[in-house]
Amino acid sequence: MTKINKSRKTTVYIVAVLLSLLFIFPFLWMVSTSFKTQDQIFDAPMELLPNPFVTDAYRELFTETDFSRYFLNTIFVTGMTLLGVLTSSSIVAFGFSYFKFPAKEALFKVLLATMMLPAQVTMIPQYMLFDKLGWVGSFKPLIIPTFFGGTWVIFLLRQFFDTVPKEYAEAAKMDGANELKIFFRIYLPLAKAPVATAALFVFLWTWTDFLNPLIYLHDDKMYTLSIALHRIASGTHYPNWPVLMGGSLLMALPIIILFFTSQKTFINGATISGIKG
Amino acid sequence: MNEYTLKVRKRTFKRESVLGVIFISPWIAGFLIFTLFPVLYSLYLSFTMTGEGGHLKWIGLDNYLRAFGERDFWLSIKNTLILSGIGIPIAQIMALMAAILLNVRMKYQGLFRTIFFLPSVVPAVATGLLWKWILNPRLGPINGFLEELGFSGPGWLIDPAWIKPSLILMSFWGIGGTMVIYLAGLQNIPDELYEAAELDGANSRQRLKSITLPMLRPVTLFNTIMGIITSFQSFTQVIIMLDMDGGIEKSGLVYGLYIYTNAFRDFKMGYASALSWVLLIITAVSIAITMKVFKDRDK
Amino acid sequence: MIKKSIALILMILLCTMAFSKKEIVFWNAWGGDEGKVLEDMIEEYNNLQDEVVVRSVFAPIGMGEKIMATLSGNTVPDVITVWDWMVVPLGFRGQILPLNEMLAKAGIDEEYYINGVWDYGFYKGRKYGLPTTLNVTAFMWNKGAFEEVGLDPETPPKNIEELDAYTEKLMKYRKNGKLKRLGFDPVISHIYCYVFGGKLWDPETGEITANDPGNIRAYEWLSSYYEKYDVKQKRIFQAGWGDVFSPLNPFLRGEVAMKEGSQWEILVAQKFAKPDFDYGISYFPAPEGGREDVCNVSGSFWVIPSASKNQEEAFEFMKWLTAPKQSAHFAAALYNIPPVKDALNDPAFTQIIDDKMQVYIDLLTNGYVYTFPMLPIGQTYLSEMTQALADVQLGNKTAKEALDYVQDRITEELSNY
Repeated sequence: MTKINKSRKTTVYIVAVLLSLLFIFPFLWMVSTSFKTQDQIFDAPMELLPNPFVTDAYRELFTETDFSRYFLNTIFVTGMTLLGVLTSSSIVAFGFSYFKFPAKEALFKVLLATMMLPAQVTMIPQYMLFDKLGWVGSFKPLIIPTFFGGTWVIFLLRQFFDTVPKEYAEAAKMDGANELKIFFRIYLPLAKAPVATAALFVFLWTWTDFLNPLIYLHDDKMYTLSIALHRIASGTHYPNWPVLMGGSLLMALPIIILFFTSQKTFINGATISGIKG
Repeated sequence: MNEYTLKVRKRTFKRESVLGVIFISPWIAGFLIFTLFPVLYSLYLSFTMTGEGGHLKWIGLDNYLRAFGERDFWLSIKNTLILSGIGIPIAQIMALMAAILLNVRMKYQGLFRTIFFLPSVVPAVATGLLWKWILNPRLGPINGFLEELGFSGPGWLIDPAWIKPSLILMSFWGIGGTMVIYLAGLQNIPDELYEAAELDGANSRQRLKSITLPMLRPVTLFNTIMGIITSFQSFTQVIIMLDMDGGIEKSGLVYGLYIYTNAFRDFKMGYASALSWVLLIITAVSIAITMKVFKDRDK
Repeated sequence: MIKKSIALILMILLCTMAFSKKEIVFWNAWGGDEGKVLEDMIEEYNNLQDEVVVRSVFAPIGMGEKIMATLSGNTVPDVITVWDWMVVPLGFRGQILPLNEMLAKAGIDEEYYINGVWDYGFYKGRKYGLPTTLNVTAFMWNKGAFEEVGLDPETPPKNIEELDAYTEKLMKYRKNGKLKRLGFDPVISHIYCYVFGGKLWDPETGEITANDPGNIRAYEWLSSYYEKYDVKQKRIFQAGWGDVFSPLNPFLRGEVAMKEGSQWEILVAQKFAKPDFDYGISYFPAPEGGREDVCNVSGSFWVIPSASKNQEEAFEFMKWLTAPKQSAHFAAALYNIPPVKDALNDPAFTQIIDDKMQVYIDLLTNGYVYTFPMLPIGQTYLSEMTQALADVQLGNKTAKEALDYVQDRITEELSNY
């Protein structure tokens, strides 16, 4: 957190406001569209204020779909994923950061390399694998692999762990702490900000994931919100814009709220200088 | 060094190695179980083509050789390198500046950060369509504004020369995510360092150069590497804003799109797999170069 | 006593097993209202027979990822919906069943379908799927615009020369030089290949005929539009066009006077056109020696994955779905045309027939029906043809050079299959 003088502050403030207007625009457009009737969408030039203001889209979303079921499905998958990814990735990241062992750099490069192969070509053999395991048609392919680490999160956390001065660990060792204690008592608490960041992104990606649930789930009843939204909003010739926007907004809401309320973690959450003695 | 110290050193090394491997074992297990097969299979596929009845015919390097002779292959590489080469550095700088800006303690800081992050939460379809309208040469506000000033606005998405600038412009919308990661990195820089520097008389630019940037290096490296990996593969925005061929004169034909159409529109999984492995090599080389640049900067 | 009870229990178990219904999985590719129509039809099928229960799963139609992934495994659905161009690649790779035998057993053959539609879905003698509904393209003209420039509103252009002349007359510009109305803009280029007497392939032999002289003439004509009128202006103008299915439909707003149009655009006009808007549908104008009744057909297909464990039941269901009554009902809901002859007379469909729809039906039943060649290489041929046209338009190649190139390339690629 930087503290600066008053006049600087006003400039910063103005810039922030101007940029915010730019960034908030698509969001406002989505909100406005979700409260319009289908015919209003076609008005050109585009009107920002819906006239008339209707809640048809939202009513349709809640009555036409099995909303609560899809919501629960999505919460289940996202929750389990968060649990799996965060726990396993932090352990692995610590492993890659703290210890020295043969082939460490090579293995890490392999980890990075796995992200460089586009999903389009790994998708099908991956499906074949899960099919052989008999997991297709269930949530297993979506959840179980997450407990083996998420490469993006591992990479991110390792970068952060690398910035922790070794002195802290050494001090703790002299006090008789073992590596597990060092991990839990020193490294993890210092990594509140990156862990929160990772959680935010994993939540975002899993919550809105369309392709993976679509491919691995074979039963309408297990579908997630993103698929349900696609289904209710699609038509052969044109999508149902208000419903699509309203649904997307509803889906984005938990993430927005989560981010907004977790600002404390992003404000001086993990200063390294926090440890005394 | 006496024998005893050597033994101790060896033992600690052994212990550390074993522990290290234990800690990363979840990833190793996951890799062996879930990742290895798909990766190796796609490599195998790249040397085959699917014949009648679904039989895989081994054709050796034919897919790769064929790629090198295809006009679209080189075009998509060129397009991707241009878009990434310009887009990534600018996006990183913008995201970093935004993070620094929003790290200043001020009222509504949380609100501003959330707003900057919002476009990342808006689904790609909505963003793409919105930008299609914004950049519409006839109806969009940008050209409308330019007309007021007396200029004739460019064709944006329907002018081959302006397609790439349009795509780059659009990508700036999504810097909120990168900004959040920089924010997390900024939290790790102890206030004391800044305070000490201020006492030494350093101005803000010097503080940035000698404290912020160096301390952020691991994060910057992360963002740049991830930026390279994802932008080399991205293609969905192009489909939404243009079409499956990359727009007029294929100006927007990016490598990821080229792979996608070969795999799922032309049903050429073998060729698409070969393309993917070429991409892996290109990505690895690009990252290696980037990391070298970073290391050199270190000195 | 115990023996008797055991026997009784076994009998009950056997009976329940015999009566227990088989479940077949159907991928419903339609969402929204159209999906609901199909859901209702599925429910109807489940109610009217006892052997099979159809379970519907939503699977959006375009998604090659889901289709290819699922078909690579062992747990596959029993009936899936795919685009027409996906049928042969999947069939060729053995991932979907050829239906010849089952169709023969059911007594379904050419006669069942509208003229020319039976070949749709064939490759090298094997029919890999059944078309769901048909999409037909014809020529539309704005009668009001004709009247405005002094043309007889009731007479569409009779041939290519008239089309070109009318286009010139119907182009309208604003004071600042920008376009106000496009006369005509050819979009589906392969239609004109057929209109000029060419063809894209020989359906009997499966041979590619990209550089047929008719195609070359068509490409030369197509590029003339590129030369005659400012392309950039045209594109900017078109960028401002609204969606087809909206009140901002450019044809309905008089922004383009003549265009290619599918039958579902009748519905669009009904919904969004102003009351004084009048338009007509006709066959495509042709040059001398060309074809005057070109009918382009496209659509989606129902197919059965090879790994399905309930092939017979799946086929029975598909047969029911494409029977005249159901076909008429579903097609009417989509504002498409049913592929089956008898469905054309079914009241479910006849209720949406007006004088305009009748033109489409006439074109389909009497015209030269063609579909874009369905080949194992998916859309490669189409994208090559598109690229060839772009090359001609940009002046990189002559029409003959561009099409010769496509001919060689695609023929060579196909030789691998």
